[in-house]
Amino acid sequence: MISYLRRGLLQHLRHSRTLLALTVLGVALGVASVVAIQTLNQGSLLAFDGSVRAISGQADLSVTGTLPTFPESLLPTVLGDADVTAAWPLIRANVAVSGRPDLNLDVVGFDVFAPVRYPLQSAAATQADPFSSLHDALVQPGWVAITPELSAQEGWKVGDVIRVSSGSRALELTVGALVDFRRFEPLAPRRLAVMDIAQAQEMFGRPGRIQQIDIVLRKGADAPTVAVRLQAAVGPGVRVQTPEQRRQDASQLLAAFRLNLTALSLISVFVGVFLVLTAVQASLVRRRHEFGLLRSLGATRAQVMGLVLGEAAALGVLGVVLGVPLGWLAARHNLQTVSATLTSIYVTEGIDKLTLPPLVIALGAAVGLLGALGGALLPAWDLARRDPLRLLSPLSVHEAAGRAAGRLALAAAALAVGGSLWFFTAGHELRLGGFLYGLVMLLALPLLVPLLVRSVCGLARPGGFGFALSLRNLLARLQATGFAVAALAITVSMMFGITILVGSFRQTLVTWLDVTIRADIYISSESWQRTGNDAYLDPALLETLRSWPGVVSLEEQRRLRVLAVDGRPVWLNGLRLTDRPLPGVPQADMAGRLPLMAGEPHAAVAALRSGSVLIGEPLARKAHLGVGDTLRLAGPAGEVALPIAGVSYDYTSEGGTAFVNLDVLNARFDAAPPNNAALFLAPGTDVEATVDALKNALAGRPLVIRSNRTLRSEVLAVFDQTFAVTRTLQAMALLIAALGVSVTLLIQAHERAGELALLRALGATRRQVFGLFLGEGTAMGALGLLLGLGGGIGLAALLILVINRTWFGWTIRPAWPGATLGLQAVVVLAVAALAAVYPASRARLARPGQLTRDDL
Amino acid sequence: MKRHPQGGMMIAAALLAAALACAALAGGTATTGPKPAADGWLRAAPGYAWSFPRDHYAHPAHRTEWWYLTGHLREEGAPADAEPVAFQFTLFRIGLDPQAPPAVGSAWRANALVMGHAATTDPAAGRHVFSETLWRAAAGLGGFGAPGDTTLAWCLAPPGTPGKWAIDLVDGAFDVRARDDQRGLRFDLHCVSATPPVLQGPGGFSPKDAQGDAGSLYYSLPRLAVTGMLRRGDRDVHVSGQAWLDREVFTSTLGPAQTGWDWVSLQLDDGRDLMLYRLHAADGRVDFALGTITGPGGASTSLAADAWSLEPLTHWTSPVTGAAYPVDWRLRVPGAGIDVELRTVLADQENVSARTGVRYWEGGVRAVVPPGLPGAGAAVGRGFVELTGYGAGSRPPV
Amino acid sequence: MTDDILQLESVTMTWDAGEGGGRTVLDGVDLNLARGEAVSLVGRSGSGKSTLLHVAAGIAVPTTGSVRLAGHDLTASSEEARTRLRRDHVGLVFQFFHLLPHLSLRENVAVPGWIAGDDRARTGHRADELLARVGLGDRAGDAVGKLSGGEMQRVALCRALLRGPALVLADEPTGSLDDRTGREVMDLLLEMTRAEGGALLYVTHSPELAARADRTWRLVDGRLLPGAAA
Repeated sequence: MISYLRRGLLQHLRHSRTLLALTVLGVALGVASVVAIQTLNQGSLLAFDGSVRAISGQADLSVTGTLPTFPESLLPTVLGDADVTAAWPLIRANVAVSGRPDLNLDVVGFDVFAPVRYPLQSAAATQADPFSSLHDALVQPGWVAITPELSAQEGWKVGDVIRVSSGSRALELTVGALVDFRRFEPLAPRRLAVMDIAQAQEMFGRPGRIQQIDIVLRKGADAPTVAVRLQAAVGPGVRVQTPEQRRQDASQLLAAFRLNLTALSLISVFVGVFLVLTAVQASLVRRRHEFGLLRSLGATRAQVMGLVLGEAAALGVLGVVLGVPLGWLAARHNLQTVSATLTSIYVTEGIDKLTLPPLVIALGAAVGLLGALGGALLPAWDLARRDPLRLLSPLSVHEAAGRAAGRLALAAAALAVGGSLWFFTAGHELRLGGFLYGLVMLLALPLLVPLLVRSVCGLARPGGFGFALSLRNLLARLQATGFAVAALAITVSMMFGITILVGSFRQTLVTWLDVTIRADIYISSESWQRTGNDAYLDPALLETLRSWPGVVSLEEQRRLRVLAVDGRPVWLNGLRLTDRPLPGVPQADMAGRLPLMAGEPHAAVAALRSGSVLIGEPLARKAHLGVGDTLRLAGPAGEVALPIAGVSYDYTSEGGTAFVNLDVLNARFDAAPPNNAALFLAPGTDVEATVDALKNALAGRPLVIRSNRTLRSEVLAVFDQTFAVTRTLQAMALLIAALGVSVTLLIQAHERAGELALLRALGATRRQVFGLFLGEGTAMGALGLLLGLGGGIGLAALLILVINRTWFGWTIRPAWPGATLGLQAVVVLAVAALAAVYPASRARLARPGQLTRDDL
Repeated sequence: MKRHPQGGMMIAAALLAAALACAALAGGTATTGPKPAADGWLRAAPGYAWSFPRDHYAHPAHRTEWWYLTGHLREEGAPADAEPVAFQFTLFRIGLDPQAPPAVGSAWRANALVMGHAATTDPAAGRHVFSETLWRAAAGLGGFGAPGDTTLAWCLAPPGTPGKWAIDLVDGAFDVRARDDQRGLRFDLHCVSATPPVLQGPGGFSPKDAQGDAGSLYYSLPRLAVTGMLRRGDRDVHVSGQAWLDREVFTSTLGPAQTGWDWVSLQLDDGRDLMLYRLHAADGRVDFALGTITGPGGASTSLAADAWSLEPLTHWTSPVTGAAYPVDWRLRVPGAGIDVELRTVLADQENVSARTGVRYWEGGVRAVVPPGLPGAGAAVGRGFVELTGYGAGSRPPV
Repeated sequence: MTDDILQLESVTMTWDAGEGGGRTVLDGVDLNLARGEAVSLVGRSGSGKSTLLHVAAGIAVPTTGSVRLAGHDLTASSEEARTRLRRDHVGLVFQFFHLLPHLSLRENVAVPGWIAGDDRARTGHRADELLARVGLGDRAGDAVGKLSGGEMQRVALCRALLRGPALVLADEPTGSLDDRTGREVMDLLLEMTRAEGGALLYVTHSPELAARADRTWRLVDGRLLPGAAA
């Protein structure tokens, strides 16, 4: 049987190369979408890991502050612990490279004399004085070591000067050496740069304050035990953590982002498995005759079943072999946008190098193989159990499917009802409940396909050689068309679901921006990002801005990452509240700019002034806090408790955001200059002209000066970029679904050769036969669209109302992005029709003289 | 240092090697006046105007200096014939930049490193313990006092141990303390000198080669009475004994061809003190030698190379570094009527620095009457021998 | 000769080497079929009967010679034109019926009308009328799966006659039927073709059925010989 299998497969390959190619391509695309997303998903975490390992790879423990910095005087305390064999301080700064808007360096200041393993290589390494760079590190102003990768990318050589900025300060770094982190840590970010701690502190930090202490312990010491002891010794302002704990923190920070991607890839797995099912099914239906013959020649049921599964497995293997590299390429293609999303929203570590983790390969292989085998199981069982002679009757399989339509639809209903009951009674309390619910609903969707096809196509009363006949033909081949339509329906559900979600989210964001972005001009620095605590605006600069012609008010803002006492990161925004309302500038009134969902604006502003806090919606939802509760934060010397005066809509972070009076922030946490400033102009002042004038006057300063309008469009650009990856997935899923249509119709072109020959004999032209198939493809598209529309609306509701609330904590007002949906519908139909072109062009070649006894 | 133990060590070793290389290169063009050379460092030169206690403190215009204390300590209440514990305590100042660091921005700005080496040798237990520190002289990690301060030099104890290593000057006495809990080393000693400093070499300039281009400012306090405490195994015990303090200040010492030296300090029971050193090249050939003998009254005389001889008797090969050190010696100073054997109290007194890669033998010795002479085997004094530049590629970083 | 619906002159059909080793299937066939005439065609298996029908229907093009269908030269026409000529002038009946299983009786009969784009109501009406004439009027909406062989061939007959073709070509229309059913179907075929005014050319192995035509031709090794007179 094995040799038959081998021969059969080769035969298959020889005689239907296109079909085989499409089938394998389908499996491959399914595998690829899983591999692509999971690679990126892993990449986001591995990038963080790579960065941590490059900098702190030797460390058994790290000390970090509950605030971004802490006093360096803690170092001797740490060094004095009995189990410590080495400990050294680190200063971290994210600095912008002047003239390179997309390039930030992650500068690590370290003690070059500490036993840190940073693989420094200087240009002078081959000379008698191999490490003069260490001497230079202290003495040469701005000495920095960059990675060989960055050096190659930017063409920066030892001795070159890099102009950078931190906040409003412009600085010069001199490349003094290379530091080849990837020698030890292949995933080390290329944007890492190291310099001596003294210079780093002078240039980017503050006297007496460091960001981290890395600790190496004595062999055999128990890191968690030492962590507890050290924590007691160093006090509440810092946290002593193992690398594993830091990794967990990071993975929590990235959880929602990763979940987002995983959920999307789950859908593409689903669609991918469906394509595999379609392909295998179709291929089996086609070869039904052969199996019938084998059975009548004495092959046992088990042998036939083994044969079918063996072929499916071979298809699966081919698909995996093709799909894994394809997925890898897709992941690389999307690297930029995903990395940009990561760095603009979550962490400073972008992904600049991807690896293909074995686990991801295994997952892709599992999807491909199990999908192929799973797809073959049912038909194989069906074929094996059937009377061999019945196999010769071509439409019996399809008739069976038609008869099962009602039962399948009932099963779908049962799934939907059961799933809903479960979700609304118990499931909604689970964090993953919404996803499971969505999965159940998606499972129910394909079960409805036979009924839908039967009812819609059954309505078709062909009165001519047109679309109705196409529909009727689909109905006749329900088993084959069912899978293709189901795959399309799932794809369309995903497409529409996500489109509705994104459209609603965007609309909500625009409304929110209208309320909150009210100043005329916003000023921040090139190095300021969401993570950029070290990017300050020079007080002198603020004075210049304050007295600029036309400026009636300057609002300072500072953003500081702090920790709640439960360890939750909170972005604390310090606002400088003006004492009196500004005549003629009503938009500066703070009360009018608070998008409060709980609390009264004027009371909230008064409370802010007296030391209360406003919290963002995600924080309120996730920490279960509301007006009247207390926000407990870890201050430099213990807990800082702030009464909550209001909850505001907030879309700046899915973690915690809170707003306090800037004076409170400086007094109770860490005093420093602001990161941002907002300017309100006198009525009638030309905003864009003022922006231009400011840019001219402050040219050469590393500032970002944006008008209200520019800022708003940039916020939306970041938003769009965040969801860019979904478009690739949508396209991939659609491609898979289209392949399903192609495969199905291609097989039909073969299987229905007799019917086509008859039609040709009866006088149908080739063009008519072509049109018939094109119509069938389009009909599949239409059916998928119809079912997918329902699924999409359900999915969108689930995403917006359940999953988003649980994982992101945002209120999104549902909106109907009609134009986009319409366009997508047209695209789906067009793609389905296009997918039918090749099969149709094969079908039109049917020869009218080909009718044989067995046909029809 | 778990995965790549060479990392930190390499950095420091490299830095020291760099200093050495600069020193070697600068050696040939040393100036004779108190003017800094082109590299900014002042060279040690004859004619230095000594002043104490000022010169007990650091000399930041020179690249390198050390406070080097060695001695023998007897546990309080121990039998008279029990072998004393030998100890070494050294703080090095390794200059990085002759300029003082700017006083703004960062406490981490440093123009020097401070390196500490400490060792105890307990012959009764057969145990030699070595500990080391290396910090930048800044940011609460280490530093050097200015004239008038209590502390001459200090640094943090090695990681895993709280507190500091230091040498203080209190009322003319030297207080030193060192501690390494992970290795079981600790002492806290009060050292009083009955005699004024002995200047080594003419005017306290101790040349290291025949041309006089390389050399150090060098003085010793050869007879310090010591009391204090010391960790012996797992006990902290009260001790008393004698110590020798060496101070050398220099920018370049070894000439280009020189790879190491043998150095001997000897406190004879008759009250005379002897200091001898000779520099050798890679092939073991002695390149330059000089010594000083100091009488009980404090009067000292230079001993030229031909006035004394030092012959190795027994070698010991280090199982750690593979270096073969001569550990027992026959010392003759015919003009002074000295002919003794220096017998090590323990063969393994090698110090191997994990941080810098430096290895040398620094050990306590007993002086006894050689066999065949009247009173053969009788103890006549105690001293220390320092051997550097032994073993492949071992050149001390000075 | 304008009354001839079908004219073949010196038609030779040689399968090229790839498909039969250069076998000559039709060898210089000349024939004329007048409008309304019924001719039977007999011959042994492989004598070229089916090929002759294919050539007549414009499905196959002879290697040499000319074929005129309803006055149009098929050999000089494009594939598209031959298809249209077949659609508009020829009704086909097959030995194995070749009904579309997923369509009802009425729909199967209506297919040629759909293909031609005829008025759908009229086509439906006409299909019903034909089905009634073959005694299947009350089952027009049924699926074809439940029909007997004779019933199927009657449906196929209706399909062939739907658009009132001037020529009906039937390839062993009774070959899959028992004798009694075969006779009944043959009766209907002859009767209805005649009633519709069409000519009929049918292939049969049965001398009895062959004898019911106006004329009989015999194919022997690709050559057409006059057969037994009607």
